[in-house]
Amino acid sequence: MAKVIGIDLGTTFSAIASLDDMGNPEVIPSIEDNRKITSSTVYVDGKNVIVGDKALDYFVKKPKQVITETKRQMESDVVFSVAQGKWTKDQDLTDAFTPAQVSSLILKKLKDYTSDVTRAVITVPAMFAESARQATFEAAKMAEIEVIELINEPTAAVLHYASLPGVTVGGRVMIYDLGGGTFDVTIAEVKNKKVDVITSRGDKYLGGKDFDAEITKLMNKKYKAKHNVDLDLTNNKEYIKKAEDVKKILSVKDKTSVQVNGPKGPLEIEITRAEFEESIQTYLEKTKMLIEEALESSHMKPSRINQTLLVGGSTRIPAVVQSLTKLMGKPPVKGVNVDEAVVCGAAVYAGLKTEDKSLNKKQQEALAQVELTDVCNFYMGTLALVTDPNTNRQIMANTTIIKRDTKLPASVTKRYYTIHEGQEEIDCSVTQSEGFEDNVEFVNVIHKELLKLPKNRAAKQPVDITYSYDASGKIHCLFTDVESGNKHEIELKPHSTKELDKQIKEVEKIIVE
Amino acid sequence: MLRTIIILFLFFSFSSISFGDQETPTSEEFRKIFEKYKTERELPKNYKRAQENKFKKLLKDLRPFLIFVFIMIVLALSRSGKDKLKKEEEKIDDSSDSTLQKAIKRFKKKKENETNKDEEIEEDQKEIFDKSIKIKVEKEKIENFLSYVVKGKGDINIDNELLEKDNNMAKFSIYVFDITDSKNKIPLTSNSEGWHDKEYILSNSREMEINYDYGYWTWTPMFYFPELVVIPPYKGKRKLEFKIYATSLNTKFSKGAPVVKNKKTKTDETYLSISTKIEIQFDEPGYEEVKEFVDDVNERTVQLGLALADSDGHMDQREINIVKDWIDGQYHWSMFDYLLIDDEKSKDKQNKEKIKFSFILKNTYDQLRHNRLSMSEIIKDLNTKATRVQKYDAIQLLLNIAGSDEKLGIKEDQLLNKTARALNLDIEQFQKMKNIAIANIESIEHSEQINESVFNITESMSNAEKCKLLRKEYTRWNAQTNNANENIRTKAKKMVELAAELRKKYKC
Repeated sequence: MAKVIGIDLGTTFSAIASLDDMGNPEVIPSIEDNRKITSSTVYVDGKNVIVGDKALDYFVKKPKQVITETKRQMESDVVFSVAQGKWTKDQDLTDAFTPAQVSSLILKKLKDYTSDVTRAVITVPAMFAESARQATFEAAKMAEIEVIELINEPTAAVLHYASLPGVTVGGRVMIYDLGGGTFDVTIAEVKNKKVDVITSRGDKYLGGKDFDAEITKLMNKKYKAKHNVDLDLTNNKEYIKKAEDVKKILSVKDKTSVQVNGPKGPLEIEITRAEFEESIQTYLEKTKMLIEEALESSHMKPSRINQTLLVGGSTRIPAVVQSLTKLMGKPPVKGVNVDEAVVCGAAVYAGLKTEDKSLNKKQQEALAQVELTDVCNFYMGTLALVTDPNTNRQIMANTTIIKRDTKLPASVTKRYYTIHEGQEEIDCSVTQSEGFEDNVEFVNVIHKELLKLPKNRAAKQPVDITYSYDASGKIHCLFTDVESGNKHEIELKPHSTKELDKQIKEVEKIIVE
Repeated sequence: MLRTIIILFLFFSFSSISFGDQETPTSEEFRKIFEKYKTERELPKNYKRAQENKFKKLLKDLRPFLIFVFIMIVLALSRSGKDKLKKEEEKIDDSSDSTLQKAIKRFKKKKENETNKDEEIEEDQKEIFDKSIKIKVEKEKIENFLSYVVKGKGDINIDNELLEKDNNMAKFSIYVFDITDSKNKIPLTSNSEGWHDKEYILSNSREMEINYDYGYWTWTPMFYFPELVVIPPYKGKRKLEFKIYATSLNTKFSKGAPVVKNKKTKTDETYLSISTKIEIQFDEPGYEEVKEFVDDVNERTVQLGLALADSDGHMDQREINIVKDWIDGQYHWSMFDYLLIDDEKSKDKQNKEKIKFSFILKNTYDQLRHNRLSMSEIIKDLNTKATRVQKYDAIQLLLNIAGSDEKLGIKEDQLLNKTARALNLDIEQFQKMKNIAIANIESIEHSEQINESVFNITESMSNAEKCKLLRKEYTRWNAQTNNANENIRTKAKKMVELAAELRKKYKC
């Protein structure tokens, strides 16, 4: 029998969990070192690839061949060039990997921790754009994993909290998810293991990796003060590795020393917690702004939030807890392992999405009362000609069809009209944006195709546009010419089969260690 | 209760009476009956039985009279009940403390209202049945635009035979006239796409199927015009007339009125016309004034543009080109300008304008060089002579100039902010426009001052206002960090950092 699997595909660490026989999520440790979280670092050596903590060994020795923070590239049209040792736009390179391909290698590694992994729920940041979600689907396909559904990371975390038998979670909760590369804040209503997500906000470029970079800047500042020369922060990855260690120590100690090798020889540098905390204030300010925004959009004040739940390794930093306590008026809850909450929630969700006949009685009982309702994290719309209220002229603008924070599943139909007499086609554009936007430049057109219309008709013919979001966040769009009944149905899918097949074949040749 | 018992008692007592057969006794008959009773009393025999028989007889004889008495009693009791209720009501009014009494009062009031409503509905229905369609204008928001909504109520009385030729279809058209001068009714004009007819007169129309008894039972929106497109000829207090025509489908219009060409065949015909009048306060220049001031406004806009281009100390050729393009745009616009449809400019006139603008460019340049260009004069003139649309046009030109040299400098930015405020533009809207320009600008001058200026933070703002504004800007830019356009994505990341830095500075 195939296992019920959840996978947290993180920026810095990834993990895999399954439901045990009692219906409890259980993180599966790696075979090599028995660790429950695996570094999302990939070392490439020809057709041999090392994934995980072992790959970190090459971070300093062969930095160009080490791929990190792949998740931050998932929505970009880039490839990692092993020769150049960086992400580049040059798609014609032969020694290059797409973000989806690199992610598939991480998934393959995780898949090998246990047997019978064929289907899984995979977690993604709440604010992952459609292109990044599609890339995640592609990665799973390359790793021969069927995606049951994608689930937003903070949603998975609150689901885990809510489903725990020993933890009392109730009322309105806020999930503060500060991981290695992304930050998400989610407000949800929890009632007897029933989770209703109200809203989510996030920053895709905010996480532990940024804190490490700040520490390297502190190192450089002190080295330069002593030797009047800069450290090569761009090419020498040793500093990043040391910064990570410093960060971990400063989470428990007030100060620490680190030996830094620079152009003018080694130097023992002392870094205090106060210095580190000061250096990350801008990032903490960003998390505060996102919390304020989430609270405002859900018409709540901090006092109305019963509990703040911490998720993600970076929440171990004392300054994070202090900042949060000050903002919310009470300290956050530390219920479970902050590194495992997301993957465990993914496993619970996989259980919810698995047919009862595939679960044993205990598993069914454990999941019987667990329910989840998520929301749409983006505005979905289309481009249309509208009157600009300021200039009173007709302009091409983005118009919203499904609003952000709409409960899923959702389906909305809006009527539009053709413009010209004898108009023979309409442009079916599907747009996505995090905020309410009417400007065409500020939205992402995630699909564009033409719908043919009958000839010789008057202007102002109605066209109905229906967008449907299923519970898992998959979008279906239908453009219907009302009079003729001509339809154009759009189901957003990964890359063309041809392109994907090519990438799959490339990944198949790689041996993952 | 007592009243009910008495009524029931009397009812059962006289239940055998057939009111239809009896006649109410006259006073003479009553006297005779009474005298008879009196006479019989004087001759008692077999007293008890006789008494019973006598009473029965008396009752029988008095029945018609008693019915009358009964009616009188009922009337009297009912009157006393009403008086009592009235007294109770008065009592309730006096004793405002009593919750129960308050509830009774509320209930009575509700009942009263319901009765009134019923009466109103009855009245409305009566009106509908009695009267043909009427219209009124109300201001409402339609699709985020404050609009004049024309609502109709009543029957649309059009002879069915007339409609037959168009398969029961009729064309409804609406026009708006300025009737401030009662002797000079002027149809309003418009160049807004979708809101004018072929003569560029403000209008809207639609075809409707009219069946027997067609009409609106309640006030129903028939047409609307966004407030933005309803521009009278002059500013100030204006009287407007909204007029709806129902015509045959082929009917053409000229100057806001149907033109019936073929009276014999009746292929074009007006079935009905309805109108309503409103008074508005129009604070912007009217379209006649726009025509009058257009050259002044254009001149001032060009001066403003050059002032911005010069604000960082040197005028870049790319910046001048943007101004020239804008001037060209004005010529192009003028050629198709609805206002000039009857007075198309000749090539000669266009050339004269080009010469005039060349002179303005040179003159403004000289004024700038000698610090003689008065910004306050420009702003004052624009505020008097330019419409909101023209002001936004001007600010868009400034944003284009600011972005043309791919760098936003502190002085440019400050001038932009000041101008937007001085022109009384919506600052949030301006900031949105500026963000689009910023997204496409290569770099922003690096200084603490510009960090604040770029987000339009002013000294007069409180700390809380600054923090809130920065949060809004952060959210706006953070959403762009996954924009498909790499330039916008990069700029967004920069703006996100700036907003967070400032929040840190203000200790938000």
